[in-house]
Amino acid sequence: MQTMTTDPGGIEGPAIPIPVHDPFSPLLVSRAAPVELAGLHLDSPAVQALREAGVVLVVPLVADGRLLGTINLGPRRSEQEYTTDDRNLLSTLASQLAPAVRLAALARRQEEQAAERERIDQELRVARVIQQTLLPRNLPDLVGWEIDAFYRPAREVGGDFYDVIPLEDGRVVVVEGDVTDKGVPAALVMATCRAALRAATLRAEDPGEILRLTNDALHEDIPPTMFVTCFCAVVDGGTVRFANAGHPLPILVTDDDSKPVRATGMPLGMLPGSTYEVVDISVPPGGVLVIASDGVAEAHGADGSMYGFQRVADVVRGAADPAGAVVDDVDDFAVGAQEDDITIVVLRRRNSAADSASSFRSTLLEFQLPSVDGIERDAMDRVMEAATNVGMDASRAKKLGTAVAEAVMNAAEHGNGFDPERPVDVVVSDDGSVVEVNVTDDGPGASGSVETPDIDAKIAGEQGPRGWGKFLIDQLVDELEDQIVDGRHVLTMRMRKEDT
Amino acid sequence: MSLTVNTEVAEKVLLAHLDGDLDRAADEPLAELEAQFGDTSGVVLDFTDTGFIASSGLALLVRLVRSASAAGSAVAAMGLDEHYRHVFEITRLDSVMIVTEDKEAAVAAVSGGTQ
Repeated sequence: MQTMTTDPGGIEGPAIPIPVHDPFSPLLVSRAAPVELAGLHLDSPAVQALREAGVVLVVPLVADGRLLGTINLGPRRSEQEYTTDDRNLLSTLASQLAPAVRLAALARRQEEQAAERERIDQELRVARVIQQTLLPRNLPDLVGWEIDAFYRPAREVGGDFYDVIPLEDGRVVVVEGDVTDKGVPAALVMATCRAALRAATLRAEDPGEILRLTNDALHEDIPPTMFVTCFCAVVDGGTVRFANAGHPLPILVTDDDSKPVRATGMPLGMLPGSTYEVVDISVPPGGVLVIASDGVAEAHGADGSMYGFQRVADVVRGAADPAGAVVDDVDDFAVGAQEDDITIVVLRRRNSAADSASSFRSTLLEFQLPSVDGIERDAMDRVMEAATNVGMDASRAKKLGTAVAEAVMNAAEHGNGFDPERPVDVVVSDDGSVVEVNVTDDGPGASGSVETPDIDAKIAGEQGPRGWGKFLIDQLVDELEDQIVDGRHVLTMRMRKEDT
Repeated sequence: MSLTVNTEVAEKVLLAHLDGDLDRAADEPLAELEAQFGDTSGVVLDFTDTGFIASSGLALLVRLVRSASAAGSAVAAMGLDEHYRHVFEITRLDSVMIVTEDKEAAVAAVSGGTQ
């Protein structure tokens, strides 16, 4: 409450607060007129303070039954008492001033509230950006599979999330989760849950075990009223091994059928020590596994009906962009503002026939080696491991590894002249059936066909003992290509995973 | 892993156990081995514990065969895995050294020298 005190010299005096609980406050409200302190018998600390400050007359500013402030007057300069006219004048002044003060106070409060809203909005916008960085920026290329995902929170930030976490052996863990509640509290739990899941994948590769570890970690860290439903799968060849902590059932969609697939388990963060059933499902080529959060199936249409999982399956079947097709269809179906966060993850098993026709090729491994002696062993081991991990049989992987060893030695020696500053680049990629290795150096490259060394001439000393590298490479791999790309020499070796 | 060569001689056959990688760095250990060829009728190379054979290693084997030949010794190989048997075939190294299944066959193959 504002008070204005005028001392006898006409100078503004100290502001003396009149608290609501002080008996003087209701008295001023009820009188709504100037009050002379001289004749006032009231046990009031405020009145005492006013008297000590030399105030003799208090004019309340009252609007809507509330004391907004007072005009405090000292003795008149003429040392006479305030007249009835004086008081009437002050009453009139106060009655006109009070609404203006009230209006000014309201306007100020609105300005403060608007500034506060803007600050919160700004913070939410930043939170949204931060949350989006917690979602995978790029979905990894996965041999034999296409992964597609869509996420849209109902509010600025949300409690849904998905993640794709590569394991060391080249397989990936796919998760989708939904935190109870929406907005900021859910977003905070989402971030905690994502971190716990990622930590769990460092310790376990089984989806049931990943969820068990996450549940135990999360139970400690989130409020007892909150929990997280979560689907967790490891994709391996044509099989999806998954566990489910109370998340909506994933739907397996094939050409002629669609069915939800079930694995039981409690939502994360509810009960410590929960265990999770693990289920393997075989997804045929062309088959799709859809994991959609409840914001999809529970979207409401104009007639009050829900979107439902069957419609998800119908839309996904045959769609080129399955996640996008479902979202478009949900948007057409639903009325009003989006009620809940929407997240869709789609795992589509590639059709192997279509695969070989497509140019899809995923990078398995990329590394650089200095051009020094002895790098070949490391290159060989890394390429062999990568090739074996994507299903190349051991003997073919060894041939490819040996060829790569020869290629990096040639690149270091002949391409880069053993200059340690000039790197040899190695990129290993896979299109599902053929592993390709590109070894790049700064040399001019070799043109023409590969010469066959003559062992007899070598033994006879008519030919140098060396010169076997390129010949060996050519003999060991299925295809060999020599080219100049952007001014650098690239040797491309291709090896089928299996003997044909 | 650098190459270690352990040798033993039985009835004028030099048995050399090649433990480690056969690459450029194997030059010196193999040269030391070649220096022992004088009194032998045959040389058996045991590849059982050989990890990686680079083309530079194949070149060293050519040099070794030439040295052995100059000393009148034949060279046999044993303990090659399937992969390196294939490498010996495509480089035709198997035409200048006798690739055998085991030690007995290898020793028997080189006992008579190069004649």
